[in-house]
Amino acid sequence: MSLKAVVILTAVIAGPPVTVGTIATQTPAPSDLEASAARLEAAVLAEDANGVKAARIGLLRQLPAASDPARVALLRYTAAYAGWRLAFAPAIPAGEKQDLLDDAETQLKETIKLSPAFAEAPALLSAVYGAKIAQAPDLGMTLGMQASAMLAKAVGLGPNNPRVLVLKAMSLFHTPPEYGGSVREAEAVFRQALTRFDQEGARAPWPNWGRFDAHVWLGQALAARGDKAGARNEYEKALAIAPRSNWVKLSLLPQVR
Amino acid sequence: MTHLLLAAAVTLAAVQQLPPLQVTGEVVDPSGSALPGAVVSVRGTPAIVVTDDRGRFTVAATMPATLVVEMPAFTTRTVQVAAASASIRIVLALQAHSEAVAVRAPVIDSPPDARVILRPIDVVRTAGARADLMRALAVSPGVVQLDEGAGLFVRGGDVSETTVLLDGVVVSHPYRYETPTGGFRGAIDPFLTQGITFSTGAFAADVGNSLSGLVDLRGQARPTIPRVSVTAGLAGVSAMAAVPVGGKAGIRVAGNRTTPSLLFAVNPSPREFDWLPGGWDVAGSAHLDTATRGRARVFLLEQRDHVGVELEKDAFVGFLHSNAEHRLVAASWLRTVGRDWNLSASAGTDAYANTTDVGVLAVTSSDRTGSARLDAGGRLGDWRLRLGTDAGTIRADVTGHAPERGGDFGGVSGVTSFRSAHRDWRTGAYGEITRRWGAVEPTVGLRADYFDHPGVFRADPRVNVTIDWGARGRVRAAWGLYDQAPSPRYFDQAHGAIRLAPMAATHYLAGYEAGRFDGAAYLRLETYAKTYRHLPVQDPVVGFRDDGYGSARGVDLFARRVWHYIDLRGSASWSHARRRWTSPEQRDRYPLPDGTWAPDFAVPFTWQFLATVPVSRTASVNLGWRTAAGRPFTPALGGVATDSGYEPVWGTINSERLPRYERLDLAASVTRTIGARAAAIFFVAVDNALARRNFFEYAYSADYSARHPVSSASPRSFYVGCSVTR
Repeated sequence: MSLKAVVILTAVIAGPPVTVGTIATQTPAPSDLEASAARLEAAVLAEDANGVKAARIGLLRQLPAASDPARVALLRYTAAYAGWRLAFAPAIPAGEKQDLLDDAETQLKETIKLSPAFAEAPALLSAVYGAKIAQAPDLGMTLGMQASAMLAKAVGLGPNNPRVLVLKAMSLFHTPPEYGGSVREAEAVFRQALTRFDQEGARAPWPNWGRFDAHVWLGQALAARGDKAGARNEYEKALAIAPRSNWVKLSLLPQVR
Repeated sequence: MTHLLLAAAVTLAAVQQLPPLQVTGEVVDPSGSALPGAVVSVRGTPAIVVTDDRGRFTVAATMPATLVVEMPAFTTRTVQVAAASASIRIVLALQAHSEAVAVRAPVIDSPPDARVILRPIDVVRTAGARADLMRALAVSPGVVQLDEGAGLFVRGGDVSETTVLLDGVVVSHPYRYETPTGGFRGAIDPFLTQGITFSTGAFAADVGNSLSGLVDLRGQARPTIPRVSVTAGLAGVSAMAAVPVGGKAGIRVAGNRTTPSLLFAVNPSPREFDWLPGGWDVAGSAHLDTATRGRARVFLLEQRDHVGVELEKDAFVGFLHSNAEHRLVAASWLRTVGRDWNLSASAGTDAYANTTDVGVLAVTSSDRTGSARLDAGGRLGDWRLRLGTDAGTIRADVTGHAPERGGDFGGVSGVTSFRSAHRDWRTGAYGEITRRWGAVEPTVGLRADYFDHPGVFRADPRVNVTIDWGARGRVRAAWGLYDQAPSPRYFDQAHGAIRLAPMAATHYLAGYEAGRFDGAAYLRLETYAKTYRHLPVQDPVVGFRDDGYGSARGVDLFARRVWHYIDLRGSASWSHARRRWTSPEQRDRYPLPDGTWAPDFAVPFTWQFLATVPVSRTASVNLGWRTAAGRPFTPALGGVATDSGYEPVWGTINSERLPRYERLDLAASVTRTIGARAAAIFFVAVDNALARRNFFEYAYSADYSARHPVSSASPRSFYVGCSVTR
């Protein structure tokens, strides 16, 4: 049974939580995870770092009261996802980014322990290692190999998972070619991911992030090989998902006009 | 020792098995009001609790522990807990009001429009470079090699015409074990930098006082994690440490000590040493990054080198003794203003003292250069602008005695005292503007400099036009004027010049490139032409005049292909250079003909091939092959007996050429992880694997009737080492 199926089943049978009256001790309904994740993704797409921070803390608050391993795993994964996103927010201080990535690593390792078959956790952990290397290149020697191993593990577990494919393609895009990166191969994997997103559908339960990333990074892969029209097309599709993205509007699109 | 290790292991195990303690506390806002709903986690563990309606929490943690406390609208806080206490009171500060800020997935900055971009790891992966930054750059297209040293002779220019900057500060002595052709290796460890940009011509208006090339080094950034690395090899031992200090500051320190006896025991030199080349260096940097005041960095380097080596020069055989002290300080600051502008400033000094003793030459020299720069760059609508000012000073003192005739270390033609006390300064300002119109991007710049010693102004316009050509290609054409103050060595008080105009050059460049330098496929073809004016030339009356001139033209081809982890790079350079020019070391050495002649660095062709081939996920083999035409030299036609020995009768200056240079270098490395946080790299290298006997000079019998090649290096050399990083 997939993790997502376990989460849905848990949500159905768990029933409403006992409310003690304070925000601190509230045990959110299972659907709160979906609601928190939806708020989180909305903040991500709106480039609202404060919103992402608030959503992440909301997810962490749910952890002490959560007992079902699958739900705990998904909570930890989602909190790690939020931390990973924040690690690229310009307004977050460098020290806080490092704490966020450290925490994301811890949460994802726990997720992998709780749900060893969940492909997205090692894929995201690989991306977290990549983010750590980007912030402190000294770490490349040790974390580089671990990032590769985690990504290989994720691809083995979920070769058709669209988020695994997006993270694999992002890794291919950012890795120097002499270390196995390839913009051309990244482009192919981004397209493969978009096909899988189409199959997954727009109303898929959480985790369902990544379609925006696939378009926006495919656009950059196309721009890198000189296909400005193709890049523009992908950026327009990304903007249709995230109309408030200043990154796309003010930075990426002007480069291919 | 075994008992000690065992005891340490047992103690460690005991510590690791300590049961967690209950940490209790309360989280409040600055007014003291309880904060219910704050998330308290123990760093590095999955433990998470939430404060209750009175802001209280209890969490299990193994001591010492770091608590991370988070709450929406408040600044995240970390608290160190060394032991269980009654209760911890944690005050969270309100987060400063801020607009929604961009959050996005990773963005990698595009590389600047520069000719060669190297990362420290590229330096290590370059076979034959011996992990040396300047040697790695020496295999770039457009650079010729005159000997086995690290000197950068760029496109028909002398080694002294390539400027090296570290964080914008001029490094006036970028080589160790200095020689007239540069030096044995670079002064800056590549791992003290985060990147190197090397421009071989037609560079932008922000660069002044440089005639041929520019090496722009960027110092390491503020450390955000503690790291330690130790390297040991045949040539020496070194260590580096990076320590974050709080969330905004950090320091890096590095030390290196050469151990030449081991290296020369494995690789015997054909030359004798009475003082093996050795030395040490320590370096450090302090960093402070703040959101409101920008990033500041101070870099310090202290080096000592010595050598006592047998030297053969013309008919002289003797020992050269040299002792050098080098101190570099570079401070820089960078701040982003608004969305689109960067302000930066840098200032520093480079102090160098050296004693050299060979034959009748015995000089003590010291010089101190200072440089400063203020720069602003950014966007105004569709325009990109850059404005700035820079300045440099030099105080150079040389005393001692030297042969009357350059290179005559036996003193056959007499000895003269040498004294120089040169003081000079220069200041300049520059502006540059760029805009893209469709596929065309022109850049127009102008810099103006005042050179104090000759008391002249120079205005140097520079233009660069890039046109997109096809999907991934670009055509580039550039033109510019360049000026550089002559070396202080031209100004000795007995025989030197009194005043020399700044040396001047005009660069013309046209080329095509496809792909990105750091991409999977890249091709660049460039043609260049340069003309030189105001070059110093020896003069029997006034020492040196500034009416020398010259030209250089050539073609550089560079291609790179990376596929399946195999990284292949090849380059071919053809050049033709002529000059009427005298280097300070060659004063009165040769009779000068009319017109121009091929300078020592006129090497018509250089071909190079570099490959990195992975043999597993953690091991790779690097190969470097290079060949080049031999450098020109001036033959001695015979000798004339004098009371003090034979004086050479030189043929036409640089009328003959040494045999072709060729070498094949091999290197291999294996990486092994040690636990989750440490890694070791084992490396082995074989330089000049085919043991080809290259040579760069002839020596002569006492009467100059016979000549023989001077072997200066081991035909084949081995190197092994290991680096551990945690």
